[in-house]
Amino acid sequence: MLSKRIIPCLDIKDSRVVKGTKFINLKDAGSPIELAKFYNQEGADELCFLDITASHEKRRTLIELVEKVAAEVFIPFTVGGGISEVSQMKDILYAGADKITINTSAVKNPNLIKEGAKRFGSQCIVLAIDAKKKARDKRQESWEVYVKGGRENTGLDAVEWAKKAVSLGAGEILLTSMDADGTKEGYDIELTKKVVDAVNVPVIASGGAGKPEHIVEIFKKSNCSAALLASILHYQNFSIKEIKSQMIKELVPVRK
Amino acid sequence: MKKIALIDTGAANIHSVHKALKYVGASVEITDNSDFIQKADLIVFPGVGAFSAVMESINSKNLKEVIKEIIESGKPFLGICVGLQVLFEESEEHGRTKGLGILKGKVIKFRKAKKIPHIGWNNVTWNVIARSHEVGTKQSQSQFDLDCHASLCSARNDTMCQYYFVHSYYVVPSDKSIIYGKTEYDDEQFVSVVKRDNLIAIQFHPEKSGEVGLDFLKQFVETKV
Repeated sequence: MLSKRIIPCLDIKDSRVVKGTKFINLKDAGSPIELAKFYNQEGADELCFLDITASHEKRRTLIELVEKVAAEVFIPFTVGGGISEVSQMKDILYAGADKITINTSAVKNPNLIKEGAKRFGSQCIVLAIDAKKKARDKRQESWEVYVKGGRENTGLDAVEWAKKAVSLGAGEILLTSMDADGTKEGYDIELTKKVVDAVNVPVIASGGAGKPEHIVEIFKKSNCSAALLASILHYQNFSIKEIKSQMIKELVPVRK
Repeated sequence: MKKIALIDTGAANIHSVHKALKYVGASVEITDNSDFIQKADLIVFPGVGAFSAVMESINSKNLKEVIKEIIESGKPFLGICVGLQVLFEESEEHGRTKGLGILKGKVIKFRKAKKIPHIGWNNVTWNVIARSHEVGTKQSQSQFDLDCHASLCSARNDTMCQYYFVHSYYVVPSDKSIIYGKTEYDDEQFVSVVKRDNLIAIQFHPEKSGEVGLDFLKQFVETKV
């Protein structure tokens, strides 16, 4: 049976992991390779690296980092952050990454999804959506797509954008609820369900996990395929092992 | 030292396969050179993405004959993902795309699955009789020791032996005797491992399947030639 995936997400700046590294007992907790190995041993099913480096000159070091991770950690990993051209996708994939995640650049240029999927296959293209609930005065519940790290409202409907991206060739949707993100009060179940039910590709739920029960809940209440985890692992006292044992207890299919 | 030829068909995962083979101690080279492929001791044929793209690459590089010859020669040959699929006669992808036809049968798209691609960690039910030998002991036979890997898996807990999959199509072999492993996804069972003499081909990605995948590749690399 296909397992539900647990995906730690690491923010990378200038080839170093930022956020939450002081809670992990490693010699060099800022090293993406050390952390990747650590999470791999802990039972992560996949990894996600989000590059928040601003300058383009630092891109070369990102490629080197991808190569190093790929040479030492043999589970799938996704790389995202500022990718806006097929040639950039190629460099990262050929360095050993399995998937590319795009967000702002795909909204600006939806053709990027199509070109990437055509060139590398849909399985390489993960569309990230940052969604926020629309003001309450509307009759129907809907969510809008935000870009540029949540700073800019595009006015696009999240469900419609997810459908469009899939029709263009996105192989997975990484869905972050901006309302739930950082609250530690659980995922946005309604949003996740809406998107999961609207598309025929796997959806990765993100934003809001504060305890293992939240992760169990999103898997049980929506048919999402994976959960992306950041602060619950980086800042709190929950390990992947604890999360997975809770999943096992609640009969969520999991890779031990 | 044994030399492994890793056939370059332009697949995006070739470097991951390269790194994993090196990690388990193989001397491996990425190549599309027929002479080099013929001189190698073991051959790995990777792929991911589109069936038609891999076939186009094989045709444009004139690799069709050398792949057929090398399989007939009896050298250990490992096909991965689309490297498994193109060994068959044809795929449903883009209507109908012709494959290498080394194995009889076709490649079809998932019929019942609600979410395609099938992405993630899943089990393989091995269709081999686990032998009585100790798990992990070295075998002195010329074929890839699938039984040894399979028994290693059954020695572990069921869900501990999962492999990473990412695909939308799967193979349907005409000759059922080559089926060595099956996997279930959304009530649909498909063939995930085939083996015929020196030829073994798998739908999952051993290069991305953690410890279990590395063990699989190690078994292949250690095949006696």
